[in-house]
Amino acid sequence: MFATEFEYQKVSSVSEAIQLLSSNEGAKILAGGHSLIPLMKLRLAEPPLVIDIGGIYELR
Amino acid sequence: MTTRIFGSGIRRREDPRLITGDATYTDDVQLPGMVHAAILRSPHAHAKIISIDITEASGAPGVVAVYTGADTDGVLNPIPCAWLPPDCDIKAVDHPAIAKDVVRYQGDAVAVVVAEDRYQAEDALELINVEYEVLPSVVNPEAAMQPGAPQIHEDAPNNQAFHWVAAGGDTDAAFADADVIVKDTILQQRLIPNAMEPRSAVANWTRSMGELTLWSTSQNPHIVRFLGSLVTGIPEHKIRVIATEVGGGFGSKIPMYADEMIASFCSMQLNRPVKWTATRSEGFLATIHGRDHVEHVELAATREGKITGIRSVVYAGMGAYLSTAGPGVPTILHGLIYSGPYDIGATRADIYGVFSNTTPVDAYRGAGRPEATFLIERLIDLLAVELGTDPVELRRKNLIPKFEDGHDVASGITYDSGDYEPLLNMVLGHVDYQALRQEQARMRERGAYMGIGVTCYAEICGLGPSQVAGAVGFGGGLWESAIVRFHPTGKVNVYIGTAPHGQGEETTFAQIIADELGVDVDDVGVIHGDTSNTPMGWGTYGSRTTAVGGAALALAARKVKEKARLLAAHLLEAAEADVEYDDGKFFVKGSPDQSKTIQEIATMANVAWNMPEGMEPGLEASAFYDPPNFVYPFGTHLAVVEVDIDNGNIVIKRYVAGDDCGPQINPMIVEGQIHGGVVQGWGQALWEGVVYDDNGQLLTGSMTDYALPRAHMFPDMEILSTVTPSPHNPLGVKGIGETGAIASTVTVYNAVIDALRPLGVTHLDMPLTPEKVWKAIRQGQGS
Repeated sequence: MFATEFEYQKVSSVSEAIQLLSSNEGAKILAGGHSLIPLMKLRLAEPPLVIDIGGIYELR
Repeated sequence: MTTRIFGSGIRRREDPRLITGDATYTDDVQLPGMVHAAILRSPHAHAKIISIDITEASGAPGVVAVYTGADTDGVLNPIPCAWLPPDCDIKAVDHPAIAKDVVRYQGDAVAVVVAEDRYQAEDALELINVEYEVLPSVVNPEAAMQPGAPQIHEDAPNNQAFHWVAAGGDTDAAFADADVIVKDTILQQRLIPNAMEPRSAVANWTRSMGELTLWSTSQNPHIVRFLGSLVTGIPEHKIRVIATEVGGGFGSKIPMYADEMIASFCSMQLNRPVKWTATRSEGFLATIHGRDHVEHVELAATREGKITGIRSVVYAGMGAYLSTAGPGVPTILHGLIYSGPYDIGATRADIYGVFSNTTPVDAYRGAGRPEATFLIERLIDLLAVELGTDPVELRRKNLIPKFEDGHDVASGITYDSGDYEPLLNMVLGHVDYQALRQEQARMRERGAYMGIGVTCYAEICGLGPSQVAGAVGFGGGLWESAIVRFHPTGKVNVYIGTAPHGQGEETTFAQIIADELGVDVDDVGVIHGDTSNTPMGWGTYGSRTTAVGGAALALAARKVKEKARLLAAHLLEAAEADVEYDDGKFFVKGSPDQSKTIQEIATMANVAWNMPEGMEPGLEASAFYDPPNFVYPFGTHLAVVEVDIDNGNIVIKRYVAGDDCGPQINPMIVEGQIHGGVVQGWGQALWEGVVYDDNGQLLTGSMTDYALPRAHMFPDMEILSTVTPSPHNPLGVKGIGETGAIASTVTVYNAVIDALRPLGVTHLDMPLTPEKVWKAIRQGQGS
């Protein structure tokens, strides 16, 4: 249960998330993490960048 | 003392550190310069290893070393099996720690990477290139013995690991003369033990000293040292095994595993501390599994319901290799107790141990006895249907009458003590059994399906006399030892050879000492789990810790007390014969004011200013206890279930556990043990079960796919007990760690079948999932 190395960025706006997503191939959105994190730990998903949208005020 | 501490449900002193996270488990151990191991495991159930290329992995970031099986040649001896029953043609096949030419189950170790951190080690695992030639595989133990099945070990034809028979009485005559014979085929499905703490090892080799310290998640650190010495060649006195904090085991932390020896090997090669901790998925693959029997069983009886014989042919899966105690489980711990609590003239167990391309199988809570209890109780319920009698009255008719000191059963063993019917009556009275049956009838009239299951059991535990251990091929002794030591201030430490890992003996053993020596329970510390400061012991399993280790402790305490009495006589200037003991005080007979507390004696013994001639200083004693017999706890369990016939869902409405484990040192802890065992047994009945596909791939390889029971699924348990002391140990105690799991699986199973019988359902294979139940109902109703 050890994920491969990845970058992590927490964003504060939808536009920032979209910008990061479109400019980083293979990047994944992290919301709750109940699906993505287990997949990463099993090395079934190996995104180079994880974009955490949990802090976007406008989505609350 | 007005309230006796022995028998008091005081809180577990272990819990504050466990609950607050202060406990130091193996994975918490951090040593300077420590590196991390990750093990490459075979993705195939059966394959030849053609080649292994470690070039790329060896050069990966952080990697310190990569080893394959070839590197262990001449350094690591094979992993031993330590229970080889005699007279059964057992094949002690070679089990290399790291596979060399062939892998025999999905999870077999193929290589190990050591790196500066675990992530780097895992990254490098992916860079090892192994070329396999996949071979055909087999997973079902009965199928594995059929002609044409893939052969797993060259020296075990037909994959037969052993053929063991236990027969007593004339079973052939019993069946030839029987008025009624009932039969069943029972699948004791394979289970995955799930201790909360995964297995872990920290190995620290000191080259300059030639010494290995191994932190290990073990139920028996002294056995790890003993067997670890055989595997590594390190002399036993230069190995220290530490297993002071272990987060549950249920049998799965008995074995000597390859992985802990691989970590030790890596440390010896690198002269650095090495940590390996199993991931949960790795635990599913490489920690032992339990059960895995295919059983053909039958029972003979008279028309009046007197049981005259039970016999079986059992195919017991051993997995790909023989695990440490694996062969002893379906034989000694299973085939010898086919009488259960009943007077049965003839029993015969034909047990085939079978290799298959699966994870090795070993002891899992109850270990052999749940399987035996299941088949006896299942057959009795079938007999009740056949004869049209009440299943409870049928049981009552066959119970062994009360005995206080020994009862021989057909298999050749001698039960210690038993008084079965009062507990049966207590459980029936508690629920008003007749009223329950009437309610069941009323519910059926309105299309609701309630079922009742009642189990009577007697089991064998408290392993056991060492002479018997030797006779049944157990590769060690089964005695225990303890040291009781008074410090100068009158406080006490005891040092025990057993290794509690959640059962609460730090509390109950302090209660034994407080009771024996009249000291405050909080003035007693219990030291266990470290081979460097505890006396030899064979470990915590088979519900033996209290019955054997607790007995050793009581004997050591009594030696201490006698020395204290002699010293008290000297200090009180009284004749030895005139000094008596009561409640922590020694006094001159007839003059209670002339007294010394045991703490005062402890101080005087430690300073040794005024000792009688010839008496050694200090106040401590050790004792070794080898029990003259096993202990045989017993009980009656009752389940009430309801089945929703629209969706197959089963709800346990009531569960009553009536158990007799002799005198209870701490009733709260006894209840806790019953709760845990019962839940694990329910898990087998209703939810748990390993699934391999035809290629030996473990489909239930994670918590997502393997259904462990959860708290919301249960009713409150109703706990009852009687007290029938064992005649042969100093405390009279019997084991309680496994009885729940031994009784509860078949109790729930029989209740479910009892509910479904009007719908034409008479047999189901476990686990009784809603889908399976729903389909059976549909089939039973012919639609």
